[in-house]
Amino acid sequence: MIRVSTSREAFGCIVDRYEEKLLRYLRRIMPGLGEDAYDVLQEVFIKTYVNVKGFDTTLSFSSWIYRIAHNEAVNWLRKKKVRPLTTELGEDDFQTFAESLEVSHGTHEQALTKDAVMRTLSQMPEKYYTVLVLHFLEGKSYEEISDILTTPSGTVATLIHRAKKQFSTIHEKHHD
Amino acid sequence: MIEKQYKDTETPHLSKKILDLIEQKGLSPKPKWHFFVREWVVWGMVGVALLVGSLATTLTIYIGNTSRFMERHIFFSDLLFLFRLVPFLWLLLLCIAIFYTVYAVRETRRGYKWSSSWLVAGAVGASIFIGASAHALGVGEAIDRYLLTEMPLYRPLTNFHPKMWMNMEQGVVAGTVTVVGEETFVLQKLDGEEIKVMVISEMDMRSPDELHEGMRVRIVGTSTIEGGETVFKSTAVEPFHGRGGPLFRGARLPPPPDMKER
Repeated sequence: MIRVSTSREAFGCIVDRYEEKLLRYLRRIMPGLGEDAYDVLQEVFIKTYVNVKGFDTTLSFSSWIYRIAHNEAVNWLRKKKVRPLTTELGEDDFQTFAESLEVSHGTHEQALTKDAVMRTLSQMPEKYYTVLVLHFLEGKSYEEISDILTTPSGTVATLIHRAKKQFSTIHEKHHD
Repeated sequence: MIEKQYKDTETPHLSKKILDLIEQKGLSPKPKWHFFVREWVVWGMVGVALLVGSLATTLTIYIGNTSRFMERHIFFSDLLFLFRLVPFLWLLLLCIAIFYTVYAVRETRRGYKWSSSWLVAGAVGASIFIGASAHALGVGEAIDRYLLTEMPLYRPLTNFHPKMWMNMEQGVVAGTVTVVGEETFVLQKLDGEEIKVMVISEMDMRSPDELHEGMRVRIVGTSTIEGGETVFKSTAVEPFHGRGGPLFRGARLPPPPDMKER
Protein backbone atom coordinates (compact mmCIF):
# COMPACT_ATOMS: atom_id res chain seq x y z
CA MET A 1 0.00 0.00 0.00
CA ILE A 2 2.80 2.39 0.93
CA ARG A 3 4.74 1.68 -2.24
CA VAL A 4 1.70 2.21 -4.39
CA SER A 5 0.37 5.27 -2.65
CA THR A 6 3.50 7.36 -3.03
CA SER A 7 2.83 7.82 -6.72
CA ARG A 8 0.27 10.54 -7.26
CA GLU A 9 -1.90 8.50 -9.57
CA ALA A 10 -2.06 5.61 -7.16
CA PHE A 11 -2.89 8.05 -4.42
CA GLY A 12 -5.85 9.11 -6.54
CA CYS A 13 -7.14 5.54 -6.23
CA ILE A 14 -6.91 5.77 -2.46
CA VAL A 15 -8.92 9.00 -2.53
CA ASP A 16 -11.54 7.34 -4.70
CA ARG A 17 -11.70 4.36 -2.40
CA TYR A 18 -12.04 6.22 0.90
CA GLU A 19 -13.79 9.41 -0.15
CA GLU A 20 -17.32 8.22 0.44
CA LYS A 21 -16.57 6.27 3.63
CA LEU A 22 -14.69 9.13 5.24
CA LEU A 23 -17.21 11.76 4.23
CA ARG A 24 -19.95 9.64 5.78
CA TYR A 25 -17.88 9.14 8.93
CA LEU A 26 -17.13 12.85 9.24
CA ARG A 27 -20.80 13.69 8.86
CA ARG A 28 -21.71 11.13 11.46
CA ILE A 29 -19.32 12.37 14.10
CA MET A 30 -19.71 16.04 13.19
CA PRO A 31 -23.38 16.54 12.46
CA GLY A 32 -24.16 19.95 11.14
CA LEU A 33 -20.81 20.18 9.43
CA GLY A 34 -22.48 20.95 6.10
CA GLU A 35 -20.16 22.02 3.34
CA ASP A 36 -17.22 22.28 5.73
CA ALA A 37 -17.10 18.50 5.56
CA TYR A 38 -15.42 18.77 2.18
CA ASP A 39 -12.74 21.09 3.47
CA VAL A 40 -12.05 18.72 6.36
CA LEU A 41 -12.02 15.78 3.97
CA GLN A 42 -9.60 17.57 1.67
CA GLU A 43 -7.28 18.23 4.61
CA VAL A 44 -7.52 14.55 5.59
CA PHE A 45 -6.30 13.43 2.16
CA ILE A 46 -3.55 16.05 2.01
CA LYS A 47 -2.26 14.91 5.43
CA THR A 48 -2.49 11.29 4.37
CA TYR A 49 -0.39 12.06 1.29
CA VAL A 50 2.24 14.06 3.19
CA ASN A 51 2.57 11.48 5.99
CA VAL A 52 2.14 8.34 3.94
CA LYS A 53 5.73 7.19 4.52
CA GLY A 54 5.11 7.26 8.25
CA PHE A 55 2.30 4.72 7.96
CA ASP A 56 2.79 1.89 10.44
CA THR A 57 2.46 -1.25 8.33
CA THR A 58 1.33 -3.25 11.36
CA LEU A 59 -1.95 -1.32 11.22
CA SER A 60 -4.59 -1.62 8.57
CA PHE A 61 -4.50 1.31 6.17
CA SER A 62 -8.18 1.87 6.83
CA SER A 63 -7.57 2.36 10.58
CA TRP A 64 -4.76 4.77 9.84
CA ILE A 65 -6.74 6.97 7.46
CA TYR A 66 -9.73 6.91 9.83
CA ARG A 67 -7.38 8.09 12.57
CA ILE A 68 -6.30 11.03 10.45
CA ALA A 69 -9.93 11.82 9.68
CA HIS A 70 -10.89 11.58 13.33
CA ASN A 71 -8.04 13.86 14.45
CA GLU A 72 -8.89 16.35 11.74
CA ALA A 73 -12.52 16.37 12.85
CA VAL A 74 -11.50 16.94 16.47
CA ASN A 75 -9.19 19.78 15.40
CA TRP A 76 -11.95 21.33 13.35
CA LEU A 77 -14.36 21.21 16.29
CA ARG A 78 -11.72 22.71 18.55
CA LYS A 79 -10.92 25.47 16.08
CA LYS A 80 -14.56 26.36 15.64
CA LYS A 81 -15.16 25.94 19.38
CA VAL A 82 -18.32 23.96 18.79
CA ARG A 83 -19.53 20.56 19.78
CA PRO A 84 -21.94 18.45 17.78
CA LEU A 85 -25.25 19.25 19.38
CA THR A 86 -27.49 17.92 16.68
CA THR A 87 -27.20 14.36 15.59
CA GLU A 88 -28.46 13.49 12.15
CA LEU A 89 -29.36 9.90 11.51
CA GLY A 90 -30.31 8.29 8.24
CA GLU A 91 -33.00 5.61 8.27
CA ASP A 92 -30.42 2.80 8.07
CA ASP A 93 -28.31 4.29 10.85
CA PHE A 94 -31.38 4.62 13.05
CA GLN A 95 -32.31 0.96 12.50
CA THR A 96 -28.77 -0.15 13.23
CA PHE A 97 -28.61 1.88 16.41
CA ALA A 98 -32.02 0.75 17.62
CA GLU A 99 -31.11 -2.91 17.14
CA SER A 100 -27.54 -2.68 18.40
CA LEU A 101 -28.20 -0.64 21.50
CA GLU A 102 -30.88 -3.05 22.68
CA VAL A 103 -33.22 -0.33 23.83
CA SER A 104 -36.26 -1.91 25.42
CA HIS A 105 -39.10 -1.95 22.96
CA GLY A 106 -41.63 -3.17 25.53
CA THR A 107 -43.16 -0.16 27.21
CA HIS A 108 -41.49 2.41 25.03
CA GLU A 109 -42.26 0.92 21.69
CA GLN A 110 -44.11 4.02 20.59
CA ALA A 111 -41.34 6.24 21.79
CA LEU A 112 -38.52 4.45 20.01
CA THR A 113 -38.53 6.78 17.10
CA LYS A 114 -35.72 8.22 15.10
CA ASP A 115 -36.19 11.56 16.84
CA ALA A 116 -35.93 9.96 20.26
CA VAL A 117 -32.72 8.12 19.36
CA MET A 118 -31.25 11.28 17.86
CA ARG A 119 -32.19 13.31 20.92
CA THR A 120 -30.62 10.72 23.20
CA LEU A 121 -27.42 10.56 21.16
CA SER A 122 -27.18 14.35 21.14
CA GLN A 123 -27.05 14.37 24.91
CA MET A 124 -24.23 11.87 25.18
CA PRO A 125 -20.62 12.90 25.71
CA GLU A 126 -18.62 13.04 22.49
CA LYS A 127 -16.33 10.14 23.45
CA TYR A 128 -19.29 7.80 23.95
CA TYR A 129 -21.03 8.92 20.80
CA THR A 130 -17.83 8.44 18.77
CA VAL A 131 -17.26 4.83 19.90
CA LEU A 132 -20.89 3.99 19.21
CA VAL A 133 -20.62 5.40 15.69
CA LEU A 134 -17.35 3.57 15.03
CA HIS A 135 -18.54 0.25 16.41
CA PHE A 136 -22.17 0.06 15.32
CA LEU A 137 -22.35 2.28 12.24
CA GLU A 138 -18.86 1.95 10.80
CA GLY A 139 -18.63 -1.70 11.86
CA LYS A 140 -15.15 -1.35 13.37
CA SER A 141 -13.81 -3.95 15.78
CA TYR A 142 -12.44 -3.02 19.24
CA GLU A 143 -8.92 -3.40 17.90
CA GLU A 144 -9.61 -1.10 14.95
CA ILE A 145 -11.26 1.50 17.19
CA SER A 146 -8.24 1.27 19.46
CA ASP A 147 -6.00 2.09 16.47
CA ILE A 148 -8.25 4.90 15.25
CA LEU A 149 -8.67 6.64 18.60
CA THR A 150 -5.16 5.67 19.84
CA THR A 151 -6.66 4.24 23.00
CA PRO A 152 -5.98 0.81 24.57
CA SER A 153 -8.50 -1.78 23.34
CA GLY A 154 -9.53 -2.50 26.95
CA THR A 155 -10.52 1.13 27.30
CA VAL A 156 -12.52 0.91 24.06
CA ALA A 157 -14.49 -2.03 25.46
CA THR A 158 -15.18 -0.06 28.64
CA LEU A 159 -16.25 3.02 26.66
CA ILE A 160 -18.67 1.02 24.53
CA HIS A 161 -20.15 -0.68 27.58
CA ARG A 162 -20.62 2.64 29.36
CA ALA A 163 -21.97 4.31 26.22
CA LYS A 164 -24.64 1.63 25.84
CA LYS A 165 -25.55 1.94 29.48
CA GLN A 166 -25.76 5.70 29.30
CA PHE A 167 -27.82 5.53 26.13
CA SER A 168 -30.38 3.35 27.92
CA THR A 169 -30.40 5.60 30.98
CA ILE A 170 -30.97 8.81 29.01
CA HIS A 171 -33.52 7.14 26.78
CA GLU A 172 -35.45 5.77 29.76
CA LYS A 173 -35.36 9.15 31.48
CA HIS A 174 -37.00 10.79 28.51
CA HIS A 175 -39.97 8.50 28.85
CA ASP A 176 -40.46 8.49 32.59
CA MET B 1 -10.34 24.88 -1.08
CA ILE B 2 -12.65 22.64 -2.93
CA GLU B 3 -14.62 24.51 -5.48
CA LYS B 4 -18.28 25.26 -5.12
CA GLN B 5 -19.05 23.21 -8.17
CA TYR B 6 -17.67 20.09 -6.52
CA LYS B 7 -19.54 20.75 -3.32
CA ASP B 8 -22.76 20.98 -5.25
CA THR B 9 -22.33 17.79 -7.21
CA GLU B 10 -20.83 15.97 -4.21
CA THR B 11 -19.48 13.11 -6.23
CA PRO B 12 -16.87 12.81 -8.89
CA HIS B 13 -13.30 13.75 -9.24
CA LEU B 14 -12.32 14.56 -5.68
CA SER B 15 -9.19 12.61 -6.42
CA LYS B 16 -8.41 14.90 -9.33
CA LYS B 17 -8.99 17.98 -7.19
CA ILE B 18 -6.73 16.62 -4.47
CA LEU B 19 -4.00 15.71 -6.93
CA ASP B 20 -4.22 19.15 -8.57
CA LEU B 21 -3.96 20.76 -5.18
CA ILE B 22 -0.94 18.62 -4.29
CA GLU B 23 0.71 19.71 -7.51
CA GLN B 24 -0.21 23.38 -7.07
CA LYS B 25 1.21 23.47 -3.55
CA GLY B 26 4.23 21.39 -4.57
CA LEU B 27 3.56 18.92 -1.76
CA SER B 28 5.47 15.68 -1.45
CA PRO B 29 5.48 12.91 1.17
CA LYS B 30 7.78 13.49 4.13
CA PRO B 31 10.81 11.19 3.91
CA LYS B 32 10.86 7.99 5.92
CA TRP B 33 13.83 9.13 8.01
CA HIS B 34 11.70 12.00 9.35
CA PHE B 35 9.44 9.46 11.07
CA PHE B 36 12.36 7.31 12.20
CA VAL B 37 14.09 10.30 13.76
CA ARG B 38 10.91 11.36 15.51
CA GLU B 39 10.41 7.85 16.90
CA TRP B 40 14.01 7.65 18.09
CA VAL B 41 13.80 11.07 19.71
CA VAL B 42 10.69 10.00 21.61
CA TRP B 43 12.31 6.73 22.71
CA GLY B 44 15.37 8.78 23.74
CA MET B 45 13.08 10.86 25.94
CA VAL B 46 11.73 7.64 27.46
CA GLY B 47 15.33 6.55 28.13
CA VAL B 48 16.27 9.84 29.77
CA ALA B 49 13.13 9.79 31.93
CA LEU B 50 13.88 6.20 32.99
CA LEU B 51 17.48 7.10 33.77
CA VAL B 52 16.41 10.03 35.93
CA GLY B 53 13.83 7.81 37.64
CA SER B 54 16.46 5.14 38.27
CA LEU B 55 18.94 7.65 39.71
CA ALA B 56 16.20 9.04 41.94
CA THR B 57 15.46 5.47 43.06
CA THR B 58 19.15 4.79 43.73
CA LEU B 59 19.42 7.89 45.88
CA THR B 60 16.13 7.15 47.63
CA ILE B 61 17.37 3.65 48.48
CA TYR B 62 20.78 4.92 49.54
CA ILE B 63 19.50 7.74 51.73
CA GLY B 64 16.71 5.53 53.03
CA ASN B 65 19.26 2.89 53.97
CA THR B 66 21.56 5.30 55.71
CA SER B 67 18.61 6.72 57.58
CA ARG B 68 17.59 3.24 58.60
CA PHE B 69 20.86 3.07 60.52
CA MET B 70 19.37 5.69 62.78
CA GLU B 71 15.82 4.45 62.70
CA ARG B 72 16.77 1.04 64.00
CA HIS B 73 18.35 2.52 67.05
CA ILE B 74 16.06 5.39 67.81
CA PHE B 75 12.69 4.91 69.45
CA PHE B 76 9.74 6.33 67.62
CA SER B 77 9.41 9.03 70.24
CA ASP B 78 10.56 11.77 67.93
CA LEU B 79 8.37 11.52 64.83
CA LEU B 80 9.53 14.86 63.48
CA PHE B 81 13.11 13.63 63.66
CA LEU B 82 12.17 10.51 61.69
CA PHE B 83 10.13 12.56 59.22
CA ARG B 84 13.23 14.54 58.36
CA LEU B 85 14.98 11.34 57.33
CA VAL B 86 12.62 10.75 54.37
CA PRO B 87 14.33 11.71 51.08
CA PHE B 88 11.44 13.82 49.75
CA LEU B 89 13.49 15.52 47.05
CA TRP B 90 14.35 12.22 45.36
CA LEU B 91 10.90 10.77 45.88
CA LEU B 92 9.44 13.84 44.18
CA LEU B 93 11.89 13.52 41.29
CA LEU B 94 11.04 9.82 41.00
CA CYS B 95 7.32 10.64 40.71
CA ILE B 96 8.00 13.29 38.05
CA ALA B 97 10.25 10.88 36.12
CA ILE B 98 7.60 8.14 36.19
CA PHE B 99 4.91 10.55 35.04
CA TYR B 100 7.15 11.75 32.21
CA THR B 101 8.11 8.18 31.22
CA VAL B 102 4.45 7.27 30.84
CA TYR B 103 3.80 10.44 28.84
CA ALA B 104 6.78 9.79 26.52
CA VAL B 105 5.88 6.12 25.93
CA ARG B 106 2.37 7.26 25.00
CA GLU B 107 3.95 9.49 22.34
CA THR B 108 5.66 6.55 20.64
CA ARG B 109 4.10 4.95 17.61
CA ARG B 110 2.46 2.09 19.50
CA GLY B 111 2.47 3.54 22.99
CA TYR B 112 -1.30 3.93 23.00
CA LYS B 113 -1.77 0.17 23.09
CA TRP B 114 -0.77 -0.05 26.76
CA SER B 115 -3.06 1.10 29.52
CA SER B 116 -1.83 3.77 31.90
CA SER B 117 -1.75 1.37 34.85
CA TRP B 118 0.54 -1.03 32.98
CA LEU B 119 2.78 1.83 31.89
CA VAL B 120 3.06 3.17 35.44
CA ALA B 121 3.79 -0.34 36.75
CA GLY B 122 6.43 -0.83 34.04
CA ALA B 123 8.07 2.54 34.71
CA VAL B 124 8.13 1.92 38.48
CA GLY B 125 9.45 -1.63 38.00
CA ALA B 126 12.19 -0.54 35.60
CA SER B 127 13.21 2.36 37.86
CA ILE B 128 13.41 0.06 40.89
CA PHE B 129 15.34 -2.63 39.01
CA ILE B 130 17.89 -0.25 37.48
CA GLY B 131 18.00 1.90 40.62
CA ALA B 132 18.61 -1.09 42.92
CA SER B 133 21.34 -2.39 40.59
CA ALA B 134 22.99 1.03 40.55
CA HIS B 135 22.72 1.18 44.35
CA ALA B 136 24.50 -2.17 44.62
CA LEU B 137 27.32 -0.67 42.56
CA GLY B 138 27.56 2.34 44.89
CA VAL B 139 26.24 4.83 42.33
CA GLY B 140 23.80 6.42 44.79
CA GLU B 141 26.49 7.00 47.38
CA ALA B 142 28.85 8.50 44.80
CA ILE B 143 26.24 10.89 43.45
CA ASP B 144 25.05 11.89 46.90
CA ARG B 145 28.58 12.57 48.08
CA TYR B 146 29.36 14.53 44.94
CA LEU B 147 26.26 16.67 45.32
CA LEU B 148 26.91 17.26 49.01
CA THR B 149 30.44 18.47 48.37
CA GLU B 150 30.04 20.23 45.04
CA MET B 151 26.55 21.72 45.15
CA PRO B 152 25.89 24.03 48.09
CA LEU B 153 22.22 24.20 47.18
CA TYR B 154 21.79 20.46 47.55
CA ARG B 155 22.24 20.28 51.32
CA PRO B 156 19.30 22.45 52.32
CA LEU B 157 17.11 20.45 49.93
CA THR B 158 17.88 17.11 51.52
CA ASN B 159 17.84 15.69 54.98
CA PHE B 160 21.55 16.10 55.43
CA HIS B 161 21.93 17.79 58.74
CA PRO B 162 25.18 17.23 60.60
CA LYS B 163 23.25 18.25 63.68
CA MET B 164 21.33 15.03 63.40
CA TRP B 165 24.55 13.27 64.22
CA MET B 166 25.21 15.44 67.22
CA ASN B 167 22.29 14.09 69.18
CA MET B 168 23.82 11.98 71.93
CA GLU B 169 20.56 12.00 73.88
CA GLN B 170 18.96 10.24 70.93
CA GLY B 171 21.90 7.84 70.88
CA VAL B 172 23.71 9.03 67.76
CA VAL B 173 27.02 10.76 67.33
CA ALA B 174 29.51 11.30 64.52
CA GLY B 175 33.02 12.58 64.20
CA THR B 176 36.64 11.69 63.54
CA VAL B 177 38.57 8.95 65.28
CA THR B 178 41.68 10.44 66.91
CA VAL B 179 43.05 7.61 69.05
CA VAL B 180 42.34 3.89 68.65
CA GLY B 181 42.65 1.57 71.64
CA GLU B 182 41.85 -2.12 72.07
CA GLU B 183 38.19 -1.83 72.95
CA THR B 184 37.88 1.91 73.06
CA PHE B 185 38.66 4.86 70.89
CA VAL B 186 38.57 8.61 71.17
CA LEU B 187 36.19 10.47 68.92
CA GLN B 188 36.38 14.12 68.05
CA LYS B 189 32.75 15.06 67.50
CA LEU B 190 31.63 17.30 64.66
CA ASP B 191 31.61 20.23 67.13
CA GLY B 192 35.24 19.56 68.10
CA GLU B 193 34.60 18.08 71.56
CA GLU B 194 36.39 14.79 72.27
CA ILE B 195 34.67 11.85 73.90
CA LYS B 196 35.66 8.34 74.80
CA VAL B 197 33.79 5.60 72.97
CA MET B 198 33.57 2.10 74.31
CA VAL B 199 32.69 -0.66 71.87
CA ILE B 200 30.23 -2.94 73.63
CA SER B 201 28.72 -4.70 70.65
CA GLU B 202 29.85 -5.56 67.19
CA MET B 203 26.41 -5.42 65.76
CA ASP B 204 26.29 -4.60 62.05
CA MET B 205 29.99 -5.06 61.72
CA ARG B 206 29.88 -7.50 58.91
CA SER B 207 32.73 -6.13 56.90
CA PRO B 208 36.24 -5.99 58.32
CA ASP B 209 36.84 -2.29 57.69
CA GLU B 210 39.10 -1.39 60.56
CA LEU B 211 39.00 1.78 62.54
CA HIS B 212 42.01 3.97 62.18
CA GLU B 213 43.03 7.43 63.19
CA GLY B 214 41.52 10.15 61.04
CA MET B 215 38.60 7.94 60.00
CA ARG B 216 35.18 9.60 60.07
CA VAL B 217 32.55 7.43 61.69
CA ARG B 218 28.99 7.57 62.89
CA ILE B 219 28.00 5.71 65.99
CA VAL B 220 24.80 4.53 67.60
CA GLY B 221 24.74 3.71 71.28
CA THR B 222 24.10 5.21 74.69
CA SER B 223 25.75 8.06 76.49
CA THR B 224 26.84 7.60 80.11
CA ILE B 225 29.01 9.34 82.65
CA GLU B 226 31.73 7.20 84.13
CA GLY B 227 34.07 8.73 86.67
CA GLY B 228 32.99 12.23 85.68
CA GLU B 229 33.89 11.54 82.06
CA THR B 230 31.41 11.21 79.20
CA VAL B 231 31.63 7.74 77.74
CA PHE B 232 29.62 6.71 74.72
CA LYS B 233 28.90 3.00 74.65
CA SER B 234 28.52 2.07 70.99
CA THR B 235 26.32 -0.68 69.65
CA ALA B 236 27.09 0.07 65.99
CA VAL B 237 29.85 1.93 64.23
CA GLU B 238 29.96 2.77 60.54
CA PRO B 239 32.11 4.90 58.27
CA PHE B 240 30.66 8.37 57.84
CA HIS B 241 31.16 9.70 54.35
CA GLY B 242 29.15 12.85 54.32
CA ARG B 243 25.84 11.14 54.85
CA GLY B 244 27.23 7.98 56.28
CA GLY B 245 27.98 5.24 53.77
CA PRO B 246 26.05 2.08 53.07
CA LEU B 247 24.87 -0.16 55.84
CA PHE B 248 26.57 -3.28 54.69
CA ARG B 249 29.99 -1.73 55.07
CA GLY B 250 30.44 -1.63 58.81
CA ALA B 251 33.54 -0.60 60.70
CA ARG B 252 35.11 -2.49 63.50
CA LEU B 253 37.94 -2.18 65.95
CA PRO B 254 41.05 -4.12 65.18
CA PRO B 255 40.77 -7.41 67.09
CA PRO B 256 43.11 -7.90 70.03
CA PRO B 257 46.19 -9.93 69.07
CA ASP B 258 44.93 -12.99 70.91
CA MET B 259 41.47 -12.82 69.36
CA LYS B 260 40.78 -14.92 66.30
CA GLU B 261 39.06 -13.44 63.29
CA ARG B 262 35.46 -14.54 63.15
